Amino acid sequence: MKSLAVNNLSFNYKGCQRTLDGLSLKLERGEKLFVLGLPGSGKTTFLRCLAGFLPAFVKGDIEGSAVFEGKELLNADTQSSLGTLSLVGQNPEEQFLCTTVSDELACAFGNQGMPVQKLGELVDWGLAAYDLEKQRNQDLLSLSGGQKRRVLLAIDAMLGCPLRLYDSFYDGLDEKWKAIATRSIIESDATCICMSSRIDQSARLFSSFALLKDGKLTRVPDFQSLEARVDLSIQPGLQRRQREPVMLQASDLEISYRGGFDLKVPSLRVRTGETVGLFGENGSGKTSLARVLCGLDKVRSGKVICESRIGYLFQNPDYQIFLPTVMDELCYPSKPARLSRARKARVEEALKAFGLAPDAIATMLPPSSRKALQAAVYYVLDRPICILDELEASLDFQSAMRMLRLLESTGAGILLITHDKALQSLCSRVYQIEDGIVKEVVHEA
Amino acid sequence: MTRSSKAIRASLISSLTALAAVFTLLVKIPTGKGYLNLCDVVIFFAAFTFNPLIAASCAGLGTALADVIGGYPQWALVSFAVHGLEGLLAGLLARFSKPLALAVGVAIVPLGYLALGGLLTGYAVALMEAPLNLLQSLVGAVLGVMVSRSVKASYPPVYDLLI
Amino acid sequence: MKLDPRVKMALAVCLTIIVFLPLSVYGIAIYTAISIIFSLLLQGLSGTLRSLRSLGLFLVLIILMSPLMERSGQVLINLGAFHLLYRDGLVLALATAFRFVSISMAFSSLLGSSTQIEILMSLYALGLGRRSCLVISLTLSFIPFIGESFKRINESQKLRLGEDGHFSRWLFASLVSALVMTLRSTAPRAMALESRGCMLTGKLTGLVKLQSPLRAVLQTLALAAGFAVSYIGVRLI
Repeated sequence: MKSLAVNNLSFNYKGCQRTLDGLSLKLERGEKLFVLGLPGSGKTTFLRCLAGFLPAFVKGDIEGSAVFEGKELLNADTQSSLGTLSLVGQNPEEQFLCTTVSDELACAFGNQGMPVQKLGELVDWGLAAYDLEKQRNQDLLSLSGGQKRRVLLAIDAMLGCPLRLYDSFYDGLDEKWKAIATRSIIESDATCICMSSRIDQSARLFSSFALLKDGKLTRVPDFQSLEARVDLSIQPGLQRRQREPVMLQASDLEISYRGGFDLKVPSLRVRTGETVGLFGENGSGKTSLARVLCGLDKVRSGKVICESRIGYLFQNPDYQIFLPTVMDELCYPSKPARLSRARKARVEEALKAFGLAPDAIATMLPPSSRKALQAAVYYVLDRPICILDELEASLDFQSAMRMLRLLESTGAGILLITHDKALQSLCSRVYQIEDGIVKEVVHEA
Repeated sequence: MTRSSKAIRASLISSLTALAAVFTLLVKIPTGKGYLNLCDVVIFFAAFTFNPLIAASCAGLGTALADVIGGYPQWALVSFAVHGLEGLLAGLLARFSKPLALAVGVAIVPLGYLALGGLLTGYAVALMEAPLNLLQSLVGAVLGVMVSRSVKASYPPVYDLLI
Repeated sequence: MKLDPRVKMALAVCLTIIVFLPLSVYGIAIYTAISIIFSLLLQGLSGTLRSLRSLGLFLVLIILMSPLMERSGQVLINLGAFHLLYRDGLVLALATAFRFVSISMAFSSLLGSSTQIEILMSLYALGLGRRSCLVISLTLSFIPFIGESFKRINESQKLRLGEDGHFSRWLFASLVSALVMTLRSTAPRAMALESRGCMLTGKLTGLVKLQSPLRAVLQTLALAAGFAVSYIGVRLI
């Protein structure tokens, strides 16, 4: 029996091109679908349409229909989706509504007036099932990325809806929890759609697979054919400009960061003209190290030497984007009209290289273009050393590589922080974080 | 009002109020005597962009909660009353004349803290604090006008948030 | 000592009102002592010391400035020909300082000994509307996250500006970015509200067991009566 039937679903945000273009999907009751969608392919938009959030919460035009168990899901403004479907979104921080872990778990049920005694028992179950008992009274802010995701998954399991939607399912989870979360989905009797921007081996357990591309959903027969669809071919690097040599050098660093972990860095060097990788699992301290290298955080001991300012591309490009147009943002701190000729040429070059329209409103660009804008800003700034923090978070492999190649062409030394194995092959040298120690590994070409 | 617009309203009021509290707690501009904070930037932004109620909530609740979190709970009620009135009046007057809204908003803060703060600390200290409060709300108002203009240019959907 | 949050609220209100009633400086001192005792009972020694420490600067200002306002009565200290301190000035300074400490301790012992959810559910039980409770609780939970983003924004703007980083330029960029980011997250946060039933209108519950309303009312009445009797007593002395 068909449980979910999506017919010809199209959506475009106000003033933008179509994000979803005639998308159709049929799911059996209890079917578990894994969808691979590269960054910017409309994963979030699709799930939000199904949840009835678009265009109610963000202006846009919607067409088509989505029926679950005889109930229309689109434009759910007149009905509450609570009890029918649950959506675990991408960014936990935008979904937290309380201050402590236990209150967050209780929130949805307290709002429905569940008696205190029963509420307490349910929360205890959720905390136990997702190994959050120790964090019960902890502030949500103090949790690690993985723990934050587990809070959301716990709420989802407690709600126990018949239709469950997951955005960026594997983000932030370590191998152990990827397996547990996948298993709990497979074992439930709910109909589930899991979106992910990357292939993960844990996803083999799903019963069906699909690819989201160009606003349409295409079913593929099995996991292998999904794997085959990802383009991991490597493009040759661009000519690197010769520039005055600068070196970023860190020695005998000892960093302690939130969560009480320690990270030791015996030696780390980045020279202009080379691309160096820094790899490690989630929560191994990559970002903490980057912050120290930029001089944002103090170290307990050791030192960092660099004769010039370092460019640091934060994982979230929105921290920097604040001016009206792409052009303004690239010219900042000058005004576009008052730019020197040399700089103007450089801005023009960046616009072309990164494929950005000068008059586009910067904050309204899709996430992948905002990331491109952030990279273009540093391309124009032309810092001799650049640190790129998790490029792959909002980009697919091909665009991440293109951006990396462009920044390389300035002749800058690049420290590429990532946990994506494919990006590893683009680096000339690689540092790996293992058991709290940063070691250089021999690169096998 | 539809369900979604109610939810957006609740979310908008709470996030702007939280931002006002963050600006109160985290932006510390050193001056000769102490620190200035910039809660007024958010207050005037809300007054000029949304409605008096949102501005009053940002102002009153935001600064009061910032006092509570910052370890000065005794000031919470005073801040709630003074800044709440500031937000409310600035929001109401902004519909007629922005300069008037600015002038009244700027004037209320030092006067209010003088009147109500005086009950807490005595009028000698309140009088001494008055010029600093005036400076703070002046800086906040000027920055508020500039920031509002810039935010509206950078993020046009702000007009679609409240329908 | 454990008290129902609603009773603690009543206590804070009583202590605030009573120090504004006509009292001699000794009377105010007695209530200051009482509020410190309550603070010790409710939030312990370390919490009390922490709250007292935060009063330091204001207390110094009050003690230094207040005497200048009241220039009558017996002269206590002369600085050359200038009468620096009058008796009435000293009394005013002490009364103001005691009042300030008393009110501060009353509020910090309420907030220092209750969790957010306790205060919220108490306000709800006292009749504050569900929507107002929602706004307060959301604000409290958004503050740390928005604060964290604001710190990151500051850092990223600072790093980007580098040598061009004039303070005002950097501040302006950070303020605008913070507002834009906050506005952007309004819609996703509204979706979260909707999907967790925050916009429902029925009864609200939370992980807090408040005591029965009757007991809270009785305790509050006992507290108020205690304060009334003590006030008469203090006035008679």
